[in-house]
Amino acid sequence: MLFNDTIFLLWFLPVVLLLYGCFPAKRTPILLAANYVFYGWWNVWFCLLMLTSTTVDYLAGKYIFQSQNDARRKILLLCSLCINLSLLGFFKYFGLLSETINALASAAWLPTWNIVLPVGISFYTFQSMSYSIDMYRKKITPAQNFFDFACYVSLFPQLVAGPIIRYKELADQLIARTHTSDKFARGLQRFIIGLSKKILIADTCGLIADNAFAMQDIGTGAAWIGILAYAFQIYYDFSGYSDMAIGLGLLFGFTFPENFRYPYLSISIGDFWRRWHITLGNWFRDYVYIPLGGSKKGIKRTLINLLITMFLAGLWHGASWTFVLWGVYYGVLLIIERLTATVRSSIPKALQILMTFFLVTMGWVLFRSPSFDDALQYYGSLFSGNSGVIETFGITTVIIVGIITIIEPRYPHIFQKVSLKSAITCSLLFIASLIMIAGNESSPFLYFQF
Amino acid sequence: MQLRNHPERLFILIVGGLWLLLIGTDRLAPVVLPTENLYFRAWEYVRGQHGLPRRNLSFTVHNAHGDLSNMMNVSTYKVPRDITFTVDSNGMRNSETTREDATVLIGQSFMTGAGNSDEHAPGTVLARELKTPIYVYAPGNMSQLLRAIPDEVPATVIWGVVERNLTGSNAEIQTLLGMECPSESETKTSKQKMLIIIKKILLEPTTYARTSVVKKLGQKIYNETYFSVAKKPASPHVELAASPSKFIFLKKGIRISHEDSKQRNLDDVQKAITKTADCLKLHNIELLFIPIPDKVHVYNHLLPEELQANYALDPLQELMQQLRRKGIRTVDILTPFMTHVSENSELLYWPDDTHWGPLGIEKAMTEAAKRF
Repeated sequence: MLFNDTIFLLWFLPVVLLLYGCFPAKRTPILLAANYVFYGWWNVWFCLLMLTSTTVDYLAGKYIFQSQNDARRKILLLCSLCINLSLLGFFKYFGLLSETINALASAAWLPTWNIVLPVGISFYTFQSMSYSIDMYRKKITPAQNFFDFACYVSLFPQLVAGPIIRYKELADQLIARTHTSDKFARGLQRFIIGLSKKILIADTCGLIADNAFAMQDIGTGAAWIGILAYAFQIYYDFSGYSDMAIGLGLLFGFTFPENFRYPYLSISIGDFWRRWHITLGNWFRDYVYIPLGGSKKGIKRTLINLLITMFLAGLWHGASWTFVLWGVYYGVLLIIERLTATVRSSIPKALQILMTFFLVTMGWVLFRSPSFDDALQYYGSLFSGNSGVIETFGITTVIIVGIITIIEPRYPHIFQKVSLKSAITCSLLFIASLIMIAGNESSPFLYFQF
Repeated sequence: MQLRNHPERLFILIVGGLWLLLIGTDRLAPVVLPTENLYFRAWEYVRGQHGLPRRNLSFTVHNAHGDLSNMMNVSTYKVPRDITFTVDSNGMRNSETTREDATVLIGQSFMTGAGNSDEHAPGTVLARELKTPIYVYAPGNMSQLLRAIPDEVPATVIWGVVERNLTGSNAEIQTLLGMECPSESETKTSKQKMLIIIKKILLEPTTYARTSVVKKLGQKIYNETYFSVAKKPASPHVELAASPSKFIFLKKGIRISHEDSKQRNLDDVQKAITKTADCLKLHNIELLFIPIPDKVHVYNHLLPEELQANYALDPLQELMQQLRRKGIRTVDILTPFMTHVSENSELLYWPDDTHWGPLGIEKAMTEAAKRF
């Protein structure tokens, strides 16, 4: 089930909200059941996998907290990490591993199974693991009961594509949260804005990008329109999903952390990663970069840590070497940035934004291409100077969406306040989105694959 | 006044009200309207959900239209027709249920007569031609029939398969290749039956997705708008004829029409059909096989030039020759269809449907009857 399915919008969500509102004493069990129905809609067996991950981390967290023995605490944490990473590794990376080893050995050393990737496994595994790690670090206390913890891991608004929420951010809210008409209205508004971002902007840009990446011989102009369209598609798709998740959270009384803050207006790559998929960046910072030593062990070690962190962040995005290279690309850019910090500060801000956007866009070519060869071919098209047909629809869409992206920060109150004007706007956006969903059989969210 | 001081309540009232209105419309429509009329034609309704066909029904869908025009969803391309559809206690298209008939007709949508009324359905036409009752085991798969051959075995089974399903990659062909000839009929155990009922209950809400009037209205607005602006269908699955004949084609059929017998893996198809004939022979049943040409095969000349296939080496003819060499009785309806198209303007297939119309069925069943 997707947030942009009519079955979710006109069946699942209203029923869950109705039950949630009618039985205030049973809110957590209702939400937990809804989470599992939502997830099981894809494949009932996926629920078992999530339940395993939940049980392992709940028990690990409980015994880590109870134990006074450091060695035992460490073993428990290692067990939790091993089980979680093994599940993630098997379902997500076994295919890549066997394909690579077999190719290197020129023989079928490992079987090539067709393993179905459970939706959102990267997201909930990271959430679940953060619980055990934080417990080990004595930053949190155990969940009151298993159901509260299971509800946290499986919370359907953010289950399959984030934001990645730490237990400590939700612990108090799981026990007691407020439900006000203001929160509900803001949640509804945020959800509809997110839905429109996905349906009206991202899917439209997706048509242009898909067309460009599917073409064999593409002219330079069309290639640039294609990659810009993809840059906007992925941003509005993913930030639209995050808005919907945050909005749904508000409908159920939760306050989730923000996941995007105008990333295409970043003045550096470091700044970009503080604004793009913020919760994932924070996760890697706190659980990979800082434990590796962060920036406290000298410049050489800092640069290595940056590279390792970005390598892993790339790998997290998908079981493909193009994603790994994409991560390494950012690692290298961050290293260069560190080494040229003083030079960069003298460049005008507008130029810094343009340079950052250019570098990010170049990265999207790797991210979008199915293979290195395809990526190289696309890079070639971008700089070949070949003429070709450029569709007016593509140019117009990219210009309009570009303007929206630039002026977006001027309207921060769009998510904060509700009014008669916003009610009418949201109603129209909702109807327009429904028409597009019904007619277009909207595509799934891009970040579901990670 | 109070609402003016509480913009959040005003917001909930307007947006929530709209939401409830849409939900209410969606919920009330199936109650107020006859359920079968929420489907674009009778076939979609009787197919039921999750392989669980509806049973013991006789009903008429007014202003029904074709599956292709449903995909395209542009009013001017629809060919409205009333379709009466009768299904027996097994969910098969029979007016009277008896499984002791000498002849059984089997196949999927083509042999069921999807898109056509009872009086034009293949079973009705063939029974009229042969002047003998026919049991229509359609919609049904040959693999299902082989697993449940009735005690009173028929003398002949007429099996029709449309060209686009006559490929080695087709699921039914693969099933037939992989299965053993059942020596006796297998019946579903009560445990299996229970599982089917549970599955039905659990998945019933998905029926809603197919009957949602809000979704249908959204689709309608989107497709009509897209077509009027872009002058081409929004659906990626359909292709329009080059001439102004309002003919619609299925793109999958066009793709297959460009494949030769090797690409279609007709060897596997031939093996599956031969194996089926052998299995039936074990029960003293004779197979009469009808390869049904796709609409795109018969009306290839109506396609835009660049999409037209070259039928110099016709894979369907090649398959029929291979089958005849193996001793399988085959009904050639391709030749009379092509002759008809070159001489007459009356249509063998519905312009807005992937399926054949009354004339196509009549011609095909006349050819089949000649083989008795």
